[in-house]
Amino acid sequence: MSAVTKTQATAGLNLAGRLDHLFRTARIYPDGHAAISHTLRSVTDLLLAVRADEPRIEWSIVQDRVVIGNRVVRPSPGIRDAVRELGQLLVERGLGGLAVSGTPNPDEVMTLVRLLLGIEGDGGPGFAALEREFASAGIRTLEPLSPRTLMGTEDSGSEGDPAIAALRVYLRGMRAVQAMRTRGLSPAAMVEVDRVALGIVDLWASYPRRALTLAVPRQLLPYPLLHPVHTSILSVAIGFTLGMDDLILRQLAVAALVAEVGRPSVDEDEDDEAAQHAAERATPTASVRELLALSPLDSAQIRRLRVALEQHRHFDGSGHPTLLRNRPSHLFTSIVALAAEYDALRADRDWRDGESVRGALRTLQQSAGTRHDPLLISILQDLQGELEVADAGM
Amino acid sequence: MDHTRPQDPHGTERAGPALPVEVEVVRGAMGRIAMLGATLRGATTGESESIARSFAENLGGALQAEVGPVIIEVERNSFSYAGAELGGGDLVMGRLLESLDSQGLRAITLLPWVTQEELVELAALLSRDWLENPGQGLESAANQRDLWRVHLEIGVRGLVTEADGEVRTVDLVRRLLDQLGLDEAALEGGVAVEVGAMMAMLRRTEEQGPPESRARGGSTGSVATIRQLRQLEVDRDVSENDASIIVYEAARSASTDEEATELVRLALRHVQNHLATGDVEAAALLLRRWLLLVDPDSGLPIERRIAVQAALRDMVGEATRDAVDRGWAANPDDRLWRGPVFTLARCASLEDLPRIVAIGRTLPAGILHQSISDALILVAQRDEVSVRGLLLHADQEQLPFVLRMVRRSTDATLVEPALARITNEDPAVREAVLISLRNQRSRRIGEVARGCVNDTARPVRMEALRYISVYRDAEAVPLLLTRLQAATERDANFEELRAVAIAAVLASRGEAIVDLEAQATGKAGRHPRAAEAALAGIKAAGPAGKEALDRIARTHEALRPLVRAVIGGGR
Repeated sequence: MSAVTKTQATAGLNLAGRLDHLFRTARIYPDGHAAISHTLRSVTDLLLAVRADEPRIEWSIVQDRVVIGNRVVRPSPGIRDAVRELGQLLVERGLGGLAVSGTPNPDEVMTLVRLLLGIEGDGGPGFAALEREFASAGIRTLEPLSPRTLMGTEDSGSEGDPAIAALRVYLRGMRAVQAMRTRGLSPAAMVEVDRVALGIVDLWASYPRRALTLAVPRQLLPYPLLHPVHTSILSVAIGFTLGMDDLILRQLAVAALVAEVGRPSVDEDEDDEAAQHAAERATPTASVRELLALSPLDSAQIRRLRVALEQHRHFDGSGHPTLLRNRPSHLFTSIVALAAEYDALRADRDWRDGESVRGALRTLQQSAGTRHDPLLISILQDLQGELEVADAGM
Repeated sequence: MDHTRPQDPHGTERAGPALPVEVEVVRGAMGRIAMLGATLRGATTGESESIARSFAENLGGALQAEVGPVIIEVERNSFSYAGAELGGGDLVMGRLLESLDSQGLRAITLLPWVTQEELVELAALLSRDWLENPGQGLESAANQRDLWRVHLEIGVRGLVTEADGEVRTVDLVRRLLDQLGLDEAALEGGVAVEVGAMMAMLRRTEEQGPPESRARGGSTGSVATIRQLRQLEVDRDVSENDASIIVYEAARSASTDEEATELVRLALRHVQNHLATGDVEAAALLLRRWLLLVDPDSGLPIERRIAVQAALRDMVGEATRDAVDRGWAANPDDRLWRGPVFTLARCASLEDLPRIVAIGRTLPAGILHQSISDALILVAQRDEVSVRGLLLHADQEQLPFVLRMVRRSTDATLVEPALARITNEDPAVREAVLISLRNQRSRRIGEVARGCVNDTARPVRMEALRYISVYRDAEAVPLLLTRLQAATERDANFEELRAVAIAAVLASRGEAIVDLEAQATGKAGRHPRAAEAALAGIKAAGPAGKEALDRIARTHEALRPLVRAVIGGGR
């Protein structure tokens, strides 16, 4: 098989978007309806475009990525959720993707859609049964593929120079945090924060060392401004090691970015400890207030609210604010709080130099079981080697 | 752009089920942008301002509703939205795509409730000919505008090839900062140098291998943390209850009363959103916690309780009425609504009675109205307002709710003010008066009930019969027997006639059996089923009635089928 071209890759991504839409409309409208026919033609054309000149090509979805042959293609943020949802629909029916051979026609595609919609979304009938179903339905040019992983694939998701892509994510994060602080947390700002979070998760998944390099505190950049971006990167690193999937990691990254969105602005240089202290104490409720102004109040938003409220509380229930219900903090909170403290220990301040990686981890170890969850500290310690490599470069 | 904010700074008003915006609306909008671009270039004639306004009005109009966000994908050769291509084959659209592609635009996200001003700004950004006038880039220009509900997704552009060549890193970084709209003035001095150092480091960094080989999920550890992780995976780590606790705790620990009330006000919008989608249990869960906050036992300083209570009162308003109206249409299950409606009404003060009544009137009467009235009883106790006073001053719309409050009371001082309303022209109110006095026994009520036996409205007559039956009003018996005799098919159906007969038997404590027997066997009245009604009344007298029915069956062969039917028909 020859290398997958950029045109095939683009067609593969568009195919996922259109197919997702076709499944949605097919749930509402009957075959032949105008709402379906346009998308159906588009899907058929795209199947051909994906195959291009190959006799047979495999097209699959793994999490929110499209795999064509052995090439992984990352969708743009706009259609990422559509790809993920289509992937979920297929996996729930025991399918990872399709192999395209010959020239598919709209009737075949519609039969396939109806066939899959007719299968209970609880794992499907098993792969062998699925193959039989395809054959008996007369689907000849499309074969079912079982769910796969990204092992043995080539990742072509980054746009060009990975260093620029990484830096761009970092600077976008910085810009987003700056905008939140100066203009407030608008719905559009939340979309941008979500995109930055997506970038951080992708970056960690592809180039973890580069991600950690970005999270090294820098003297020249305004520290409080960048703090949430660092926290977000470190949180994703911890969450990834814990085994969180990409969607949860993305939410964790967002939660870290907006955790202190309500922090009152106090001049860092101001030698007024009382003002700094007051600002810190006011941050949880002020951040909750900012976040509460956004809709919808779904589980992702409730997680962010919990992080905002609990971020200065400790593993043993101490800290502030004092809550009437002294329940354990949310896992997101524990991770973000640990990442934030690590970052704070590492950063230079007017009154002290920042600690080394080893020193910061040692300090954190002393608070295991009191301020922080010992498990999370041990995960951060597992990353010590990587953190030191990133630090050495700076 | 501050003018985008005043009415709804955060875009939370009136959320609901997210319906998609029609593809044709979005297609038309993108066509207008292309036309605007062509007009600005001088390629076509037209008035650019009116095109931009038309774009904003059409698209903005579609987004002023409970719709999902519009995400327009920008590809090299076409725009697409919701799986449909929006065009790109013609020259005008092709030029627009080329212009936007040169700026790396990948997607345009328009969020619900975007304002027309924002859309006009967007039109200006998109229609500019970036090929001819690259200058300040699209991303930088967008960043400098305070677009509240418009998001542009822009990819890396124009850096990679040059970076591989002779462009110095620091220049590359400056270009990157320019594209992002981040100038050094907005950050700190020397930022470009610092970012340049970062980039150099990033380029030198060697990765260890593909990510999948890394130890994802490799850690084991505390059971509690792992359990939290599992709950997170199945989305059971948080619930509406958490949201209510967060607001509760935040309002408790807020540094000022104003901050506490602001929190509650913001959260109330979410309650309205839940109500509007018919998710009433979630709405009630949020509200209940805040009622605890204003409870005197909450331990909160009285000033804060008063402040929060004032904020809670905002819940009882027009926005909530609309939300309830839509929510009921989406989920009309009165058992589900009963508790939430009770909680909602408890947020009120009796000064809000007209507003809570307006909300109540969007829901069907019955248990839901009773729930509201039950809540109002607690509110009246809290506010130390007498129900009697409410009863004296309630207007026509409030009266049914106030009378339902009276129903829960045995306060004898309420009888007269309630009975004073029996002359009300609305039969529903007259019925409500009698219902409200079900728990009270007095000669005055009996007198009024007797008067209502011949009311023009059937529900009122039935309620009067019920009162007479329950309180065994012997004085009503002659009236009832007359009614049974005189009723015609036109002014009473069989059910009512039977109720009259039963009331006669019960009120007379069985003595009316003789009269009913006479009616059944003799001249049975003007109603064709009067005899059957009389027999049903006799049956209601228990053993004595059974004996009477046996006797009738023995002596009146013609009535046997009726007797059999009455005995077999229950009641």
